[in-house]
Amino acid sequence: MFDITAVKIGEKIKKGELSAVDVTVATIDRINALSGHYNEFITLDVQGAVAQAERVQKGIERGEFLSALAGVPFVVKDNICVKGMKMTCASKMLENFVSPYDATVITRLRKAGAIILGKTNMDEFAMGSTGENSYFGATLNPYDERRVAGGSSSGSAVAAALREGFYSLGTDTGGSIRQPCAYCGVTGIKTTYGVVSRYGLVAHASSLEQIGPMAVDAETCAAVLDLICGKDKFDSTTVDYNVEYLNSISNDIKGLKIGVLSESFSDKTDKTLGDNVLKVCDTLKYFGAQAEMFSMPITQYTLPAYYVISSAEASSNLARYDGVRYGLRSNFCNNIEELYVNSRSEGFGDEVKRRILLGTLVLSAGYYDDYYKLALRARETVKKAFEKAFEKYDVILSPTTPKVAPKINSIIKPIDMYFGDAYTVAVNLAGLPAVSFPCGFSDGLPTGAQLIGPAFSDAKLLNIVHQYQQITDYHKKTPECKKEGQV
Amino acid sequence: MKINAEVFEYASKLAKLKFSQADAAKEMENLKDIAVFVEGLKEIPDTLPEQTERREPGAKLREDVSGVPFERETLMENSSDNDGELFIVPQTI
Amino acid sequence: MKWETVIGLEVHVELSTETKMFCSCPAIFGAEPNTLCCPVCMGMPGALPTINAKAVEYAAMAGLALNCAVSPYSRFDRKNYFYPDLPKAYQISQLYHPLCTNGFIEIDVNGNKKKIRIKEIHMEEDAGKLFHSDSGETKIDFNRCGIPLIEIVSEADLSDEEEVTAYLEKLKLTLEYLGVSTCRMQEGALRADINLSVKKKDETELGVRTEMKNMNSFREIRRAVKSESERQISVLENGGVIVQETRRWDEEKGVSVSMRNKENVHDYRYFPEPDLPPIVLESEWIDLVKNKIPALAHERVLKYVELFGVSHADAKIITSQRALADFFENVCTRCENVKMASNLIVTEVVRLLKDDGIQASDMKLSAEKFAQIINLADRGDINVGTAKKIIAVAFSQNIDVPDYIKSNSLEQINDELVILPVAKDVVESNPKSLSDYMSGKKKAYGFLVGQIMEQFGFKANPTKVNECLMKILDEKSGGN
Repeated sequence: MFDITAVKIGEKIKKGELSAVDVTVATIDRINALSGHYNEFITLDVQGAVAQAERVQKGIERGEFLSALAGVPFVVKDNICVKGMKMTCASKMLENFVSPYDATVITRLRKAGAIILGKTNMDEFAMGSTGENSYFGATLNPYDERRVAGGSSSGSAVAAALREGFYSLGTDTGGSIRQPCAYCGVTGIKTTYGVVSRYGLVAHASSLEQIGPMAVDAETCAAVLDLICGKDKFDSTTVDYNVEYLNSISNDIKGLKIGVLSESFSDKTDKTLGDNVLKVCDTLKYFGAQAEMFSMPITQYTLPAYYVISSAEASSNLARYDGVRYGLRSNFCNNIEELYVNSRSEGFGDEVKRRILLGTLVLSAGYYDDYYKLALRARETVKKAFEKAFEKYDVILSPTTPKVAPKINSIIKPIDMYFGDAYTVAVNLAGLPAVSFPCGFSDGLPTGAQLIGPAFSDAKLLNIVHQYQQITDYHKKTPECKKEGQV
Repeated sequence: MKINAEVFEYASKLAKLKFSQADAAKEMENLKDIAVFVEGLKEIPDTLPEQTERREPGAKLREDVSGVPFERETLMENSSDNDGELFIVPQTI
Repeated sequence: MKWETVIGLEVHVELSTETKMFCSCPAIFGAEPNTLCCPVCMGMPGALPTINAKAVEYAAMAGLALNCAVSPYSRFDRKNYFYPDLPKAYQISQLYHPLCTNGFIEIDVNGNKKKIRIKEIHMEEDAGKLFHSDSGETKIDFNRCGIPLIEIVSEADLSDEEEVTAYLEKLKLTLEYLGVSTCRMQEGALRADINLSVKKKDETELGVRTEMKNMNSFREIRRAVKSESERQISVLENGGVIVQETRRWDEEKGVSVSMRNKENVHDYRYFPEPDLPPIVLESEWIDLVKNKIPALAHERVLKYVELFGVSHADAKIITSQRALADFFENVCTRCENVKMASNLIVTEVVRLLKDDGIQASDMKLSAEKFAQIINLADRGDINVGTAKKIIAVAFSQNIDVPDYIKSNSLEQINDELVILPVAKDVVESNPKSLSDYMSGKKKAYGFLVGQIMEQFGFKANPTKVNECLMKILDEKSGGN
C-alpha cells in the first residue's frame, strides 16, 4: 500500500477497493512499527483518526465526499491549529496548549474528507534549519540517523519520506518546507504568498510564510493544493486566485526556458549535489526544455535582509506568549513583570530568544532606519531582480541547499546555520513560488533541486516536476529503516 | 549595530527576557556575529523605495455583521489562573 | 500674568459599530466578562485581524465632519508593548499613514471665537479592562478588547479649561450627531489624554509637558487642567523643573500625582502591520460618506425654529446634546403642546441633568413618559407646577405616572365651587394685602395667589385661581 501515492489511494477508496478505515489503520500500524524512531512525531491521535476514517468512509459510500483525497490520512506540522489537539510549536511555552479552533487549511481538508493522524516535530516556533531546535529533541534523518532531518518542518519531511501518512503539511518562512524536503528526499512546495491561508498558522514572520504540502511526489502536492488554496475571509493577505492544480500538471513543457542560477554553484556547494541538479536540466531537455546559466548577484545579499525582516516580525508575533491567557506561566512570579520575564525566559529556547532579541533591536528607536527600513528596501530590490530574470526565463533552477544533511550537533554557531538558507530565503522575500524535489543521491544521502517561478506559477512548477518524475525514480526511493518493522 | 552589555540589556528588557550571566555573555557573542552579518544589508546596491510606499491593491474590508463569539470556557481552557469569569494575574501597577 | 498654558488633547472615541475593529465579535457594553471574545481579539496563536468596513466609514465620516482631509491611502502599524490588557502585546494602530489629517474645530468661549486645529484622526483598537483587587491580584475582562477606536489628536492650541471644555463639548456634539459613537463618557466611550505645559508669555519655546490619561468626566478634566497648570507654574516659579511624565489625576485630593514609572518613555518599535494590506479609498467612496453625514446641530436649530416654533435660544439649548435633541423630537411625536414640551425640557430637564452631572445620553427618563406628563398637564389633569415635580421624580425613579398622581393626590383642582370659598377666605384673612392691592401694589396680588395655591398644595389650576381671586377682589372693591 505504501508504494502507492495519495491520489491513487484516494481513487481506490472511491472505487471501494480500499476502505478509509483500513488505510488509516494500516498507516497507524506502520507508524507504530517505526515507533517514532526519528522523533518525528509530537502528537499521534490514533482514536481520533480512526473515528474520522469511519465517519468519512460512511460519507464516501453515500457519495458525500467527492474530493481526490477523501479518506486519505495525513500529518500536520505542530504549528498549525487543529481544534482539540495539542499544539506545541515544539516549545516548552506551549507544551500543554490545546488549540480551540481549526486553521483554515484544516477546515478545508476536513471538509474534503482528509484524515488527520497527528502533529509532527519541528524547530521551535519554526526558527531553525536543522530540526535540532525542538523542546522535544532533534528529529533525525531517516537516511542517516546521525544527521539532521532539516528544518523547520523536520517531522513533516521525515513522515513524508517514511510514508507515515500520504502527505504532510509543513510551513515555509525561509525554506522550511523546501530544505527538509531536500535533506529527506521528498517533494514540497512553498506557494506564491497569499495563495494559502495563514489563519491558524502560528505566526513567525507574517509577510514571508506559507503553509504547503510535503509528499512523495508533485502529483500529491497538486492534489493537496486543490483542497487548501483560495481566498480566506479570515486572512486579509490571501488573494483571489483559483486554479485546478491536479488538472494542470500533465501539460506539455516544450520550449520551457530554464535559468540556472550560477551563484548557487559556487565552491560552497557540494560537487555531487551540484552535478545532480545540473543533470535535471538534461532530463528536462528530454521534454523540450532549454537551460542556460545566468547570474543574479542579489541572491548573495538576501540572507541579512531575510533575517532582519523575519526576526523583526517574529519579535512582535511572539510577544503574545506571556503566560497571561495561555501557555507556560512561571511558578516564580510575585508581580506582573516577573510573570512576563520568567515565563518567557523559561518557556523559550535559545534560538527563539536570539531571534526575538535581534528583532527587538532592529525595530527599536535608533536602529529602525538603518536596519529594518533598509531591509524592506532590499526586499524590493530582490523582487525587481526576480522580475527581470523572469523576463528572460520561465523558471529558475538551483540546488535547494548547498550541502547534504549535516551531522547532528555539527553546527555550533547560529550564523553558520543561517548560511544553509542561502538559496531559499530570496524566494520568501519576493513572495514567489518554489518547489523542491529529489534529484539524486550523494553518498547515500538525498540531494534536492529547487525550481522557482514568477508569482502564481505554482501549477506550472508542479507540472514541470511531475513530468520530471514520470521518467526518474529518485522520488520513489525510501530510506532503509532502522527499527523493527519493514518498510 | 554595536552590541554591548548596555544594548543587550536594553533589548532584553524590551523583549521581557532575562539571561544568566553566563548565557548573557554567550548570547552577546552570538548577537555580535549576527550583527556583523546583518551589516551586509548596506552592501545591497540600488535600493528602491520601501515596499509600503507602493500602491498595492487595498484591503478587502469586512462587513460589520456580528458573528458568534467563542464560549468563555473554551477560551479559558488553556489559562493558568482564572476564576471562571476573569483571567487573573499578579498585581499590576 | 506672565505665564501661559499650552494644552493639546488626544481624545479616544469608541465607534458604535456592530462588531469589533478586527474581528466579528459583537461590540456590546455591559455583557458578562469574557463572553464577547474569539481567538483574534484574545491574541491566540495563529489568529489574524480583518478590517471592519463600518469602522473605516465612521472614522472617515468623523474626519470629514471635523474638516479633515481623508487620505486615499492609509495603513495600520503595530505599537508594541507589554500590558495584561493587551493580548497580542501590540496594539494595531496607525502611526505613519493615519486615515485623516489637518482638520479643525471652531470654539466659542464667551463670544471669543477660536480655531483649534486637529493634527490627525487615526484608527486603532481598544484594550481589555483591568480590575485591581486588594488581595494583590489583577483580573482581566477582554470584552472591550478590539472595540474600534478613533484617536483625535489636536495641536497644542488650547489655553485653559474653558477652551478645553468648549473643544470637547463641540467634538462630542459633532460625533453624537454623526451617530458614529454614543460618546457615553461614563461607559468610557469618550476619554481624553491631556498634554499640558506652561511657558512664559514672551518665550517661543514650549515648556516640558506632562500627560494625564483616560479622563472621562468634564468636571474632572476642568479641575485637572486648572490644577496641573497651577502646579507647573508654581514649580517653575520656585526654580524647579518639570519632569516629562505621565501623571495620575487624583479626584479626591484634586491634584495630579507622579506615577513613578521609570519606563515613562516607551520604545514602541512601530512597524507596518504585515497582516493587513493598506486601506485604499476611492474618491467616490469618500463622497458617498460625505453625503451620508446627517443633520448636525446647527441644522436642527433651524428645523426647530421653523417647524416647531421654538425660540432660537431654546433650540440651541435643546440641540446642545444630540440625545436631548432626539429626546425632544421623540416627545414631539407624542404630544401636541410642543411649546410646553420645549419649555419644560429647557428649564426642568436641563437643570436635572446638570444637578446630577450626567449627559442626556445617560438619562433614564424616557420620551414616552415625559410626553405622558406633558399631555396630562395640557389636558388639565395636573397643573404645570405639578408636572415639574413629577418630571423631577420620574427623572431618577421608575414611576407609573397616573399611579403616582393618584396615590399622591396630585390631581389638579379645577372646580370653582371648591376654589372660590378658599379664595374668599384667604382675602379676608389678609386685609393688609387687600388694601395694598387696592392701592395699586401689584405684588400683593401675587402674594394672594401664592397663599391660595398653598392652601391647595399648589395643585389648583392657576387660571381658575386667577379667575376666582379676581372675582373676590372685584366683589370687595365693588362692594366697598
